[in-house]
Amino acid sequence: MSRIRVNDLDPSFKHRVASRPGGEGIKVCFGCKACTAACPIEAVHKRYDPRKIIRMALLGMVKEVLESDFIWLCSSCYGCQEVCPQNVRFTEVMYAIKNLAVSEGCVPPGLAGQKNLLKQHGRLYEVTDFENEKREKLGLPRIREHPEDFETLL
Amino acid sequence: MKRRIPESVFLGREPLSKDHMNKVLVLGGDRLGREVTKRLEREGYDVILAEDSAECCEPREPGRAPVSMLSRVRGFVGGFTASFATPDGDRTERVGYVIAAQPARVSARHSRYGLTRTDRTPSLSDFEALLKTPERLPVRRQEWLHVAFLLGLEQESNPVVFSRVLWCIENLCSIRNTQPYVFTRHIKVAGAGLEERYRNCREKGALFFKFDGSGPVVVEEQDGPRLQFVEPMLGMEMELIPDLLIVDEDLEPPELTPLLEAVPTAILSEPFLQPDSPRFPGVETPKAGILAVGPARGVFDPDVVASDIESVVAALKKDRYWLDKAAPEVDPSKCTLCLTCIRLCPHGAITFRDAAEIDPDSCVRCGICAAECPMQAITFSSAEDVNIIEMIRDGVACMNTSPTIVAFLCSRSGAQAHEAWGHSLSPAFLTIVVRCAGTVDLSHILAAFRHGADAVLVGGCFRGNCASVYGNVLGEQRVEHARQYLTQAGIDASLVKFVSLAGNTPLRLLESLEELYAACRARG
Amino acid sequence: MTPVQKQTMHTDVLILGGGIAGLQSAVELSRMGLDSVVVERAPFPGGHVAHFACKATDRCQRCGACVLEDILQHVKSSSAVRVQVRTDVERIDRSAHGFSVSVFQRPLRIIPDICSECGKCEEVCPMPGALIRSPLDQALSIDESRCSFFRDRSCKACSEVCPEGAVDLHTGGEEIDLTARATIVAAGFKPFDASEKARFGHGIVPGVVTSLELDAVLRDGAGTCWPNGKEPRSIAFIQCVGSRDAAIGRNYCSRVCCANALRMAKLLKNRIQGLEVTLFYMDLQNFDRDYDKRIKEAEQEVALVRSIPAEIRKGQDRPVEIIYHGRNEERVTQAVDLVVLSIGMSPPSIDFLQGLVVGSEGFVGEEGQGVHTNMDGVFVAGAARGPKSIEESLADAVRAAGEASSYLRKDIGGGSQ
Repeated sequence: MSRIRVNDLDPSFKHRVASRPGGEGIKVCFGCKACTAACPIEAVHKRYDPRKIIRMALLGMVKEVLESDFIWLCSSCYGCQEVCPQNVRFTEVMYAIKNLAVSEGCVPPGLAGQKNLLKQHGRLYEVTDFENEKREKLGLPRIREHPEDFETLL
Repeated sequence: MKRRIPESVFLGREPLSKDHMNKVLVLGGDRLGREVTKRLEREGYDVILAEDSAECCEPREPGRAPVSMLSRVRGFVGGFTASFATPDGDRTERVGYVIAAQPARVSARHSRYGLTRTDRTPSLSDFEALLKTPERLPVRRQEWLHVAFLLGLEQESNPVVFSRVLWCIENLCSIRNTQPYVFTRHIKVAGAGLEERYRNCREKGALFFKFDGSGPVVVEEQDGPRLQFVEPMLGMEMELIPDLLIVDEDLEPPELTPLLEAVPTAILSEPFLQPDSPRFPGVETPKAGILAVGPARGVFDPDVVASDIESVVAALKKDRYWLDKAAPEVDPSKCTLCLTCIRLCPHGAITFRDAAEIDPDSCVRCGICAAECPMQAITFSSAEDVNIIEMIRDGVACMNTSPTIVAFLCSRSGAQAHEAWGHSLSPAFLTIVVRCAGTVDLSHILAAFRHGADAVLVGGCFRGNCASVYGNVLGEQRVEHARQYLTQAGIDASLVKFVSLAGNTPLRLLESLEELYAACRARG
Repeated sequence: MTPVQKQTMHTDVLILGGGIAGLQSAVELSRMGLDSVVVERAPFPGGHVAHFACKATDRCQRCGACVLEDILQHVKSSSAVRVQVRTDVERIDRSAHGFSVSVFQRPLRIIPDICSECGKCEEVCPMPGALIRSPLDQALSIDESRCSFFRDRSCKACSEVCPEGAVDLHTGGEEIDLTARATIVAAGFKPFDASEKARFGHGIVPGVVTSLELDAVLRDGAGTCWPNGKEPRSIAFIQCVGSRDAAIGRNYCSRVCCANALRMAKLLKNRIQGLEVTLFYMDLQNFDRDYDKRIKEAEQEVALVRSIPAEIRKGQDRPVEIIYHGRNEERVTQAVDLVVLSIGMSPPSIDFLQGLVVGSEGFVGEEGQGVHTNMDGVFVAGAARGPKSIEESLADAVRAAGEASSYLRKDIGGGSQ
């Protein structure tokens, strides 16, 4: 593995994350590991480690952070935030990072697909006649799709 | 134990003289020395300040010698002779006290990292000076894009140096685009306000790398030094080419050799004037009249150094209550000048002319000299020696317990632990309070048995906790000696015991006494 | 009940707090020819240090706790120092000559000159913690807040059983009007309440104790009174509990806990054969002159783990389980017999001195001001000014006494002109 040249990384990235709503606390992390030990995702998926994500962001490893799939694994349980002694508010930092990723066009395919579904159908699943017939049998009204609402929202 | 006879105690034919109690020599060099001087002058002392730097001192006495020319200090409290080897010949000053208040020796750690000191790799002091003179800052700001600090990697750092690094970062961050990096092991935040400043520096963007195992390797390339390291949190191989690489510094005590000659024996292995013991929490050294302030005693935190200045005043005024008791006396007709007492006195209180001579003001009445004198030329009569034997005789005589145990307890540890039991200890124990375990000698232990004791306990301070530096060790050695002696005489030596105690270990005292008691009972 | 008595007293310096900083200040003042009254809330002087164990193994570890016994000897022998135990300060006002102070001394309840310390009262007392023994000289006293006599007069067992008649439940307290020319605040620190960090299980999981609790146990004779009944084979120390924690407004290092934990570890390893010690930390702080050597020793003796655990819970085979992120980047569940939380120092509460300014961390005084406070004639010493070791507190006391004495001399000088 070749060495990563710190000089080539982007020292302004951490400031960019910190300037986003929710990202404010990222720079004060001092790496105590409490968040990692509290994270339920880390317990099953080693690539998701709050402390390492923060570190990569602090070092300015922009590509590695924004284009990675692991930033999308956060379950938003707020366990990390609960144990952090420096008030990093990591769950919210993750929102900030994810928002940055999207604004730079880094969206994982699954999520992009979901977005398209929303755009087309106004919900995550297409409502077909199959569902509506079933509803009719149960005496429930048919569902109509309103994708235009989400156009407005998004 | 390495011991050396301090040259300073040889007064030749000069009589002990105490005519300079109000005169103080302060060895200085920076603000600290001047502050000590100012403070003492306010108390009415006549102070000679010896310092080197020309900028800071108007000579207040013509021909005064700089501190680096101090060649030696000898004598005793109230009458020290400080000799200076000046280019114009030797000069001496007579003073009552000598106070070491020199600044720390600061040495950059370049060699530890295989670096040489250049503009690109300055020391922390160099860099601080640079930041304090903005006109010397680089014209093009981007020259200082990546600024790295090496801190406490080969040897641990401390809060004083860490505070200085934070100061640099605080100032650097006002320079646009600078990215500071700190390579270290442990962040030293144990100082006032440091944690908050550390947080602010992170907030400003400084990156801290904390290494557990091997730190960064410095590789010198044509384009300057490179730092190669495994990022401690990510485990990834990384490399940084810093525009500036700032090297931390050691803070060491000042040069104290001339004084070490006056403060004897116990601390020769160390660069400090005090033994490493809680018995010397302030500025006092084992030698009366010689005080160590700040760096001279390994204290660098400005807040504690400020306390030291006040402690000097307190120490000079300290009521040395033991002076009420007479010091041990030397019988000149018995003294063979074997130098044992001079060698072993932990307080440098003994000199000799025709016979050994004890300076009563320097003596703390520990009794070591009397116990160690092979000729029994030293008696500690008024205070302890004769009394102890009388106390044993009278004490054991009026005890009608069986068994009877005599416990010699040091006034600073065993006796305090004993006091914690109030009156609840068994009457089978006769306690004899001695000023230091080093007072107890073979004759005392044998006297206890002679007068009817069944067992003897000597309770002294823990090693490293003796106010007479090693009185406890000598006491323990003598107990060992007594045991051999008794064994050879066919007496059960298990009934003589030394135990280390402190004022706050009453249980340990009780356990030791109970053990001896049980041993006596078992023996019948 | 006998009515409350009244008394007046004059002194040069009022010292608030009878811990080592306060007592040492008093001793130093007496050397400068100044009188002082030390006001202490507890039934005995010494503050926290009175409960600290000696950490010596076969040699001294320089914790400094034994210094208290020395200071107390000086206090006892000095006529210039008066220590008022069981005394609360009610208010302090400025007066023409300095300070006018109202204090209330709760009665002694067990008269020391009569009590033979036989312990019969302790045997019959039904209320835990109501009868307290001084760790210094075994003297007994009654904590009125725990004694049922002072709640509803339901029990007089101690007074009935005492063969000497030393128990006095009826005397009223004493109100003392005190005038002083200067004040030294030496109120020490409040230990961090470990239950604030519920995830570390203090008060919930048996076998989780604070560093102060362990210290007291060690002083009183470990081996017979381990928190969970039997001698531990493995102990873990958790550092920075209530320190370096901006999330709860305590973003400062308590400065003494690394030293204390490592000394304690060394002592326990010395006492218990084969004991395994783990220390969880963020950064190790220096202590002792020869710190580099000490830390290398510690690396040999103690498993040093740079990680703050997420949770401490009741274990299966052993009493306690610690969950943390380990060195090899994996989640570890470590089972131990005893967990020691190195709790930080909190500022003391000084509500009776109106107008006294505290710094951002809540400790008395402002940075860079040393032992001076914003109030003329009020000085501060020891841990009340910020976390301090025993040695540092002693140094501070000398400094505060010196400054107070200079102030008083200036005061006299100003008056005569």
